[in-house]
Amino acid sequence: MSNIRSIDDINAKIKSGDVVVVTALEMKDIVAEKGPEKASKEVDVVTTATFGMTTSSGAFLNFGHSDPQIKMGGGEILLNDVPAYAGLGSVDTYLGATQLSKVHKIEYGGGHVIEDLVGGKSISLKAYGSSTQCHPTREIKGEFTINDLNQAIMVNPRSFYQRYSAATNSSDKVICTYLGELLPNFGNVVYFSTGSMSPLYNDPTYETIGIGTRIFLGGGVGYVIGEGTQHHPKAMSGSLMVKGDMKKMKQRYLRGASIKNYGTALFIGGGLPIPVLNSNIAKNCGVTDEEIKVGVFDYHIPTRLKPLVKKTNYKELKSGNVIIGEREVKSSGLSSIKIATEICEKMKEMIEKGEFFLTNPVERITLESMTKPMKLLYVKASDVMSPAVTCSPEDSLKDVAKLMLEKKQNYMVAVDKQKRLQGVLTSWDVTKSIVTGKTKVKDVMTSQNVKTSRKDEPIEVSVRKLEQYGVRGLPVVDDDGKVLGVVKMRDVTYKVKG
Amino acid sequence: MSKRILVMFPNREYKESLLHEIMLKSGTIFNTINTEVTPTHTKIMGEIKGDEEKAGEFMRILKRRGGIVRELDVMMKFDQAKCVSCGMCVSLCPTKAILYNKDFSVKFDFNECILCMRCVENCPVNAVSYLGD
Repeated sequence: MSNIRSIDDINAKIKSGDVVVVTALEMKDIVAEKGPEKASKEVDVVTTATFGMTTSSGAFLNFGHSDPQIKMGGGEILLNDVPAYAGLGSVDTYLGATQLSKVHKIEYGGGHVIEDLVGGKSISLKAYGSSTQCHPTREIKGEFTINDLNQAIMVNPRSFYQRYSAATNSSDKVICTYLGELLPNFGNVVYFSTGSMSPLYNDPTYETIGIGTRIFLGGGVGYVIGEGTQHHPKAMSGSLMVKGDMKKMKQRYLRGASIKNYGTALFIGGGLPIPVLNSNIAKNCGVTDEEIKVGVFDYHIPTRLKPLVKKTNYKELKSGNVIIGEREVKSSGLSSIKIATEICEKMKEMIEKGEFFLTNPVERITLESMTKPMKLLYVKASDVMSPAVTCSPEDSLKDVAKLMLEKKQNYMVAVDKQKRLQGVLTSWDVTKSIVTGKTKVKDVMTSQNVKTSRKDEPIEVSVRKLEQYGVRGLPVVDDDGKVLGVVKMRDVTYKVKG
Repeated sequence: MSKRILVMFPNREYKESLLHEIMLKSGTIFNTINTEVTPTHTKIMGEIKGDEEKAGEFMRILKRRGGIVRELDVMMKFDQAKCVSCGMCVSLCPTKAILYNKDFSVKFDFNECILCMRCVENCPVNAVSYLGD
């Protein structure tokens, strides 16, 4: 697509005061009303923003040298009793948002130290170093504010995260997650992200965002320094790594957070200006909350892959109520739409006043990166399962009972010709048939809501299911529903060493 | 208008007809939401229906008869300046005490509150606090 203007053209307009800037929300209306072609002619820049809780955030700090010098690198560093990384040079450190205070634990962490620094508060420093000939000091104690530091540079490895799933809880107990408390029996739905205002939803192909893109970060100016961790743009799960000078940040746009029974984090406001270089970019900026699909997942299952409860979109989530089954369940977000809207407005004002110029990225963000799960050594259901003794739902119970005796089995799996799971049959079901007079497997087997296991499911999860549902076995099925084996408590007891 | 209060009586000073008596005297309706009876005291949470003057009269008489009265909108404190409008409390609130405004800021109406404390316990920035009985 040929561009109708360049970033340099836009900067010239900012300089002359003729630039047309609209917020992401205003742009949705313009695109809906006039179409992307006309919108792209009228609008130069769209401001997008997010204000959300982040865990992969932190700051590089440089204290300057003490006299005599200390080598904190290799030692131990505590900032307001929160440990900071001591694997860098003598007086450098990185402080992460989720690091907990040694004293206040979950009440105070790295995110809070960052907030206090930006707020101009005094921070206590305790550090222990290894005494060397050139760095003889072993221990220092001091107080400092952000102004005493040579550098306070925020570097967030995963920021502007595009996609989050929404969470709910089907169990009968309260669970505490990184999204806060999830109430029992689908008591609430919690979601992240500001939806259609969120930067990466407005430029999902990274046509304008790249290394060197100037952004708004925590009330100051920052830059995109590359793709973020877990960046997976093809699954609409992009993320950016960003940096910003903390000395220019404001507490209004940054806040330490404590999540009950989970840990600490950092709320951070980020804004990203999208230059409307062509009508395709305008079209992308027209994306609405309704068009952004979100899955609501059941978080009571502690595995990485959680059961999907419902497919929804940001329009429904932001309405405050989500229909689950036949009930209206209250929904609320963990990203502040209020402050994100404020950031969009603020950036618009900064650009209009000529205080914020756009930059040409020096390199594009990769579109190929993918997110893989952690490679770990753990016992999987497939390591423990035994071969399934199978029958057909059409078999007569008499034949199957004979087979059960022959194979010394009290648990049978009924499958169709393609080996796909149809139901399960226990010796108890066979016993019942003597009373009811049923003669076919399909008449007595359990075929509804059969609990199953995946072959790569950690055995702990299978055991939990066996206990929770009080079943004798779990058929292990692949993605097509084909039975690969059976996990039984016996297998677990014999094959898994404590 | 309705106003939520928490009343505590040492058991020796409390009899069940007391609330009705005060309702009649002050010309208000008092709906009990929750009663907690311990060997030493009785704690009642409820809602006074009626105008401000009558509600004030109701509380005055309660105090004169030995009741310790706490108003919920005084006991619960929401610090707007600390709030980042993340909304975590909104879906945790079992009543309509916490709602979003149109601009997605969060508003509290403690006269709808049942003191479940979920917002106090969960607020990531400590913007809601309970000032005690």
